[in-house]
Amino acid sequence: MSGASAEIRAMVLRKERLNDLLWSIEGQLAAPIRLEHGEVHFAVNPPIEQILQDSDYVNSTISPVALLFPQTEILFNFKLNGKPQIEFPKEPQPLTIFGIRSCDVAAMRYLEMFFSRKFIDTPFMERASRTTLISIACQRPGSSCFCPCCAGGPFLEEGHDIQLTDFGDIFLVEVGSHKGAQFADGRMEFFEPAPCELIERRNRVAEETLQKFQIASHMGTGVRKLTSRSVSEELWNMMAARCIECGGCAFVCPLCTCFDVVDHKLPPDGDGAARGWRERCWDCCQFAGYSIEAAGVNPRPNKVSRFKRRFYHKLSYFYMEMDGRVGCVGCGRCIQVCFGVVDMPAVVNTLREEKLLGVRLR
Amino acid sequence: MAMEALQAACNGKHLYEPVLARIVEITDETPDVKTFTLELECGAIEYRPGQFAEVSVFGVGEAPFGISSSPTWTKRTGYIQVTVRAVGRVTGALHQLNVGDYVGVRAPLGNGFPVERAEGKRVIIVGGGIGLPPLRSLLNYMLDNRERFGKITLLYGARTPADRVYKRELDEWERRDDLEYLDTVDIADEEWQRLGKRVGVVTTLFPIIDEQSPIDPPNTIAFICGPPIMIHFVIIELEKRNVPDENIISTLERHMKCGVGKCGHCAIGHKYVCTDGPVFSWAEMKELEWMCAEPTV
Repeated sequence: MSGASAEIRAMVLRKERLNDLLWSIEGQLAAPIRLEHGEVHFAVNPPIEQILQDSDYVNSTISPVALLFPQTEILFNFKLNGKPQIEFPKEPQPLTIFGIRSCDVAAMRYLEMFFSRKFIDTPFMERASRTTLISIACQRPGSSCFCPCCAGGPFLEEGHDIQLTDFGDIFLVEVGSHKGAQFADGRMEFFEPAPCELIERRNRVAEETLQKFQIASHMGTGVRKLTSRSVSEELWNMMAARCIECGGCAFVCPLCTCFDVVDHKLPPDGDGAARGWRERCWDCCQFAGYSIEAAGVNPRPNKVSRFKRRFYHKLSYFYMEMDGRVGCVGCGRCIQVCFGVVDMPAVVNTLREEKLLGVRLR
Repeated sequence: MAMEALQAACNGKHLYEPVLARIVEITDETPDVKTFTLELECGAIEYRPGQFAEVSVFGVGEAPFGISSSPTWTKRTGYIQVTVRAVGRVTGALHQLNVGDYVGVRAPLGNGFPVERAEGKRVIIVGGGIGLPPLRSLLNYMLDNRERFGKITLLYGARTPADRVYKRELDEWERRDDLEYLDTVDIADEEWQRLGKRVGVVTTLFPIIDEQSPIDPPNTIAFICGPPIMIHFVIIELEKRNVPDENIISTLERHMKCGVGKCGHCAIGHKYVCTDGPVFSWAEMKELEWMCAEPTV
């Protein structure tokens, strides 16, 4: 399968064949289900009948990228009895994520770039190399979605493995990568050729969907204002005052990668050997203890310095130049968790208007 | 490059895998500072002065230390050294260890000092207190390759005589005639007073070198390591003497956790102290301060 032909391949999947297609997947399947109290969650190997239809959900509370970069994970186990012995977790199984949204696919591509830059992060990249994404393009954006402002959707023109577009009885299937091609090639019996008319319809729907967004976040203006340092200290202070340092924004952000590393040790067993493990867990630059050095010095001693740090990372041109994208995919999860209304669009609009609005522009 | 070598050679398959290292010697430097001589199971490693090691005490954690031995010494002995002040959890646990115990090591990490840029130049090394270890690596490297460098001056300041690390080596350096050595303490003890040695902060040594060996700015390169406040004032002294910003080299202190540019803790703007640094020139630091709107030192 050559790269060129992979890029232009489009097919049709009849919806009644979807479950059979999902059954054909080897390894683990993650897909969106609805939990008891209404949240949408990407579950691993859920009962297939519980998997949500495109029209049943906007997106999950926590991004499915957490399947590859989980909140806590063991880096290695060790046994201490004389010379330490180190043992690594088993290699991950192949994983297919069905129903992932465009913004989270864009986030995944960012994470793959980040975790393989200079040094290859073994745990993440081992999982990423075995993961195939079957995303569903968004035709019904939610009230906090703003992906068109951040090259995060609602339809993907690049970066997807397989992209589905829901047309009632059928899905349009677009293959966007070698991994996607590999997935499709092994399952040609499920697919039919796509008529040209359907691709035109897809393009029309993608255009129409852009009109349905309720929020705008002028990222370019945010990048320019912040990088040129034309934001007053007073404005930063006012925004930071609204932050309660809960860390929610970082924990739901699919592009946030900061982690802490912690050792755990159990008391010695009968054989006299103490066992333990080193794990990493999500951390957040808004926490006061985040930058503290061993001797107690804190380079970011106040809330405003930490608040600035978050938005410099997401919006500074210098980061953008290095990362190839702005540090946001417009998934809108920070809007859902921020108590102080200092989420991404609120901050960008504050930078733009040069006054604290307290509400998001709708 | 040393960075890829870490993953390829020493670290086997996993980025966060420490190589086991046996403690072969522990030297008491001061009441709260020890130098650990480590024998790595992967064999001797190649590194640059100014690069650092992440050292693990299994069950307690991992912390970064500038490698205090010189690459030339490692080539001769096969060992590396780190000098550790007991200030926190990991350092406290390290101080409890004995010869023969094992630690984990991930090294070499970071960029290291640009030693090539110092070739043929007048070298001024300024150390403060426990900031000396990476500079000791640099100085011993330069002394082992003495012909490649011009006049070398070491200025060392410590709070008290008891806080001075590498006391035996300091005496040796003082006696060498191919090294200009000046030291001072903030607070003298009786012995120090009796010997009539200098008292005052490290910047008070600059007027002395103005007299005995004046700085020729474009041909001078300075390496500074110590507490931020000291770095700040030493930079002012060097700027007064017109040493170019690119030739003022220092190391930045941040909370480096993973050491490989992933965990985010040591970031200053878009630079990671652990992979883009820890060594930066004053020119780079100033540019970075503008870019990220926060101070570096």
